[in-house]
Amino acid sequence: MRFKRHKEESGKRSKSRILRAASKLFVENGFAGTSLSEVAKKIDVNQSLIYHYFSSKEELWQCVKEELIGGYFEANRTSFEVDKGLRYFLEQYFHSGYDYFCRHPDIIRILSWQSLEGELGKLATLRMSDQDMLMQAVMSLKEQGEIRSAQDPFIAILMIRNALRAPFFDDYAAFDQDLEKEKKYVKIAVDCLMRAFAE
Amino acid sequence: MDRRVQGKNTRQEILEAASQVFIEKGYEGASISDIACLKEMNQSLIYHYFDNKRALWEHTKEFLLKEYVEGGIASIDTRHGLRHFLMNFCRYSLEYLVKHPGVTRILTWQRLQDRRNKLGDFKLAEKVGFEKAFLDMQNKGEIRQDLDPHLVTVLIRSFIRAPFFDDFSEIGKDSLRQQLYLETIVGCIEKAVQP
Repeated sequence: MRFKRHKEESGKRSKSRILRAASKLFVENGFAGTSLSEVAKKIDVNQSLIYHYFSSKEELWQCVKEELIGGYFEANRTSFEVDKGLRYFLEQYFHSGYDYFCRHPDIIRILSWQSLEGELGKLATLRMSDQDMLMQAVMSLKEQGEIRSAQDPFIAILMIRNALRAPFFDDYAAFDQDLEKEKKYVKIAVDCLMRAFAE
Repeated sequence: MDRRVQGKNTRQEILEAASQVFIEKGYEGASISDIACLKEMNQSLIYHYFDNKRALWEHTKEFLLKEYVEGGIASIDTRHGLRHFLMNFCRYSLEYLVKHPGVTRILTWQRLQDRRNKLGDFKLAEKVGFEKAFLDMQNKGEIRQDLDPHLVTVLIRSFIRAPFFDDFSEIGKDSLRQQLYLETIVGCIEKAVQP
């Protein structure tokens, strides 16, 4: 019995070591740019051990993505307050989202790698979706008359989400962690989206 | 055939092959031999025109984006009011990205594989000059004064890029949605920036 428990625990440990090593390499070099032999080498194990826990490189990649992006999902599951109007909602969304992306540059890279696979098809099954949360908020704000009724909700969501992502996904921004600029950007984005969606 | 013309054609052919391979595999994933293979040419011919992979990457980007920059410059027109200015620029940019999905990929590859800035500058947007035109419109009083042109340009770019860089969007594939999207963002930006 004791022996068995010991084995289970060390199994868990190997699995998480593999995941951690794979995560580092995938984030750095993407799916195509990473090989299982590199993952094995990084933690000094035999490649066959990886196959013991993951049936293929694809499965390992999916697990790494789920771990990374799952965290974002958790962080955004708490729905935002919408009773206090559009401005309050946007401010909450931008402040928490901005902070999250700053603390997790790996997410930005993994999402970008994923977008490159998009056209190749089957690997991009995981979507970083705050879609449901945003849809709920936008619909509720429309009901309150905070967002004008003619506004297409899907387009509104796309605009809000990408306005938040721009400083992280668009090199043109080049804020270089300049706090003043970041603050000013969030202020301008919230202000412009307010005016854009108001009745 | 005139040797100079032939030389130009070969260079063009190499750049076309390189575009295809770089778009698909990125900088690190592509090799000169992949590119040579595609056109069934000898690798040494590529080295005759380009010093190394890095130089070929630079020229390929220029080759791919030349049309974008030229069209972008041509699309900017500040003489006929705010709406006209925004509509022209946004329509051009959206249509271009729909027609050339490879451009989206090249931009993403560069961002991912260029952590040490060795792949060269990407000052495309600066070349197109939207930000400067925005400032012009501000000076004419058609755009409110309290907006930082750079930051607003970042925001407007995010709306233009969204259908292509956001995996939740189907707009890139549907021309009716595209038209609605264009009109919506132009309407929104207009309301957001007018005095």
